[in-house]
Amino acid sequence: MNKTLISCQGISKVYLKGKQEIIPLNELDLEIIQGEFLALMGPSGSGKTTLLNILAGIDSPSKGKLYFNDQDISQLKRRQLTSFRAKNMAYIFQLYHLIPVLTAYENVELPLLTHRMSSKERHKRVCKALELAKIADRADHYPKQLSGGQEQRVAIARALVTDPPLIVADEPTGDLDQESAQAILTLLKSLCTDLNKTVVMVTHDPKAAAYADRTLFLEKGVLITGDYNVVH
Amino acid sequence: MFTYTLMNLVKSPLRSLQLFASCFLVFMLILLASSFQESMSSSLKFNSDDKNVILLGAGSEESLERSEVHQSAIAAARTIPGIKKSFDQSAVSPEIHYNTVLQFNGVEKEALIRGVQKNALNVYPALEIQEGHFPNSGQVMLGRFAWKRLGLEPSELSIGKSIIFEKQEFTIVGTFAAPGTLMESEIWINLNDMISLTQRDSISSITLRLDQAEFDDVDLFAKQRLDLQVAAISEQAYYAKVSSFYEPIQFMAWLTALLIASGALFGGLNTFYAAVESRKKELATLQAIGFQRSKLFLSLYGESLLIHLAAYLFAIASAIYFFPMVNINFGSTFFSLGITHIQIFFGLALAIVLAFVVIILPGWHCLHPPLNNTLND
Repeated sequence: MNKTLISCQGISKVYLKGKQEIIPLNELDLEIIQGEFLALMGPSGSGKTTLLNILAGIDSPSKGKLYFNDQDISQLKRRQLTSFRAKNMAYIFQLYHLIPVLTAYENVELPLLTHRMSSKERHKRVCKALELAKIADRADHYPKQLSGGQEQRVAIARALVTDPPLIVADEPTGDLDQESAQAILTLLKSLCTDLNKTVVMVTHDPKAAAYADRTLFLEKGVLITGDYNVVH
Repeated sequence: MFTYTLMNLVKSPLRSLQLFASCFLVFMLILLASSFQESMSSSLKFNSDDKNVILLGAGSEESLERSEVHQSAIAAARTIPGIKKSFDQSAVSPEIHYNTVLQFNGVEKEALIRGVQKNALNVYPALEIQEGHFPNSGQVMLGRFAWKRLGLEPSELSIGKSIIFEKQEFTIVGTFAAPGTLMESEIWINLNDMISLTQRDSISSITLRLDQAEFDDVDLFAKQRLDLQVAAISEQAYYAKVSSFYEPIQFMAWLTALLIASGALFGGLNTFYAAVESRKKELATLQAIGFQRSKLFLSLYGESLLIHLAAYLFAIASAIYFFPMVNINFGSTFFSLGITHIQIFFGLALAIVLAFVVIILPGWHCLHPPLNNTLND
């Protein structure tokens, strides 16, 4: 039985827009277990990206507790969160966000530069990540020389290279054609089943959500349903 | 990370070139203004000797060219006790300073000539005849850089060539050096020739070299001998006055350079800002994958520093090569631009500081906002 990786206890997020208070997340409780593939769905402005950012340590909750492997990360300072992210999380963006001046290999290598390790070990890890993402044959290509699906594979390899327990993905197939999207979703799914990674994915697409073990629906910052998918 | 820094510069060669050009312009202008000031000041500073005192016509202490001293003052000046003597000759140099037009091989050039007697060699110990001899009647001797001031080739002023002054032909018979002084760009002529050709009955000044005497002794002499109508001024004070006369020009040179440099600097700032701003999301991505802001700021500084240092090195190399070719003939002063070690050191320090300054604003703007805002922009 896999243990709980993330536990959200009554987390809320409040923004001030002028004098108006905006609450994209309101008293949300959630548990995510190790190795789970979780999809977050909901209409625009429902708070799913805010939740994703908080889970990824990119944003902090205004209220409530967020435990990651039993460690409370809701009160960490920005610098501490950055270090925490480097060790425990990886982010996959809809538009890949690869560094255009670096090759696929160098893009994948980037996160390792925040870790202390030999160049030999770095090389080994980068090659392994590129293999896992099935993009090793494009290692020397620059992002502009790759298709959208290939760029997203490089982004996945970059997410895998530090071997983080959590991978968050913000509409990773939103900019891809159907064939590439299916391939990427299959790859994400395999990360959970084969490598026991926890993947949290925001999507608008029910077909993409169907690949997840569980889909949560958010509306106005509140979790309205959440159930395990029967078939995918 | 260094690859990232370097590749960002290579990625947009046009933008990098634009930044380089802005930085280069800033450094060149600052080097030019500082070189102008430094070279002018040092040419006037080296021209003076703390042992020399000048007797000028009373009321015209501000200009050697305008001063008039009656010739009877020459003999009187020799009687001042404590003046340096050499083989029973007092180190007293009566002189005429004269701006005129000379003809060199048919070409007319404006020149500063000094009418002197041989005794001048006792008054200016820094002066050394390098070639030939002191001019007698019908002859002239040139400072080793007179060709620069006249804008001629050195070969056109070699010994044996002639120049036309007041329709009379004079033969060049010697060249002299007086390191660091304006005399090196002058033409020296026999004093008696000068008096007869210019039909003057007065001279411009008398320069004395002190031995036991102090400046106050000469000053007292000038004040007691009212009949001579002379005023004493130390050579240092005279050239300090000349220097202060040029201060507004130096100030204007600095102001002009700083105004243009500011324009270039703001242009550079704007380009840097746009260059970093266009990578705002990229920098946010790097933070998202675990890079600390301090490290990213250092990387931006690295880019800025590489461009600034490259521009600085190019500017220094250009200045070292081209500045000595620039000869400035300015009233009674003449100098060539040069670069000193201090300018090189301060230029380097400026490059390092400027590289930091231009990156503060875009760095802050890109790295300070909350990460989620930047990523979701």
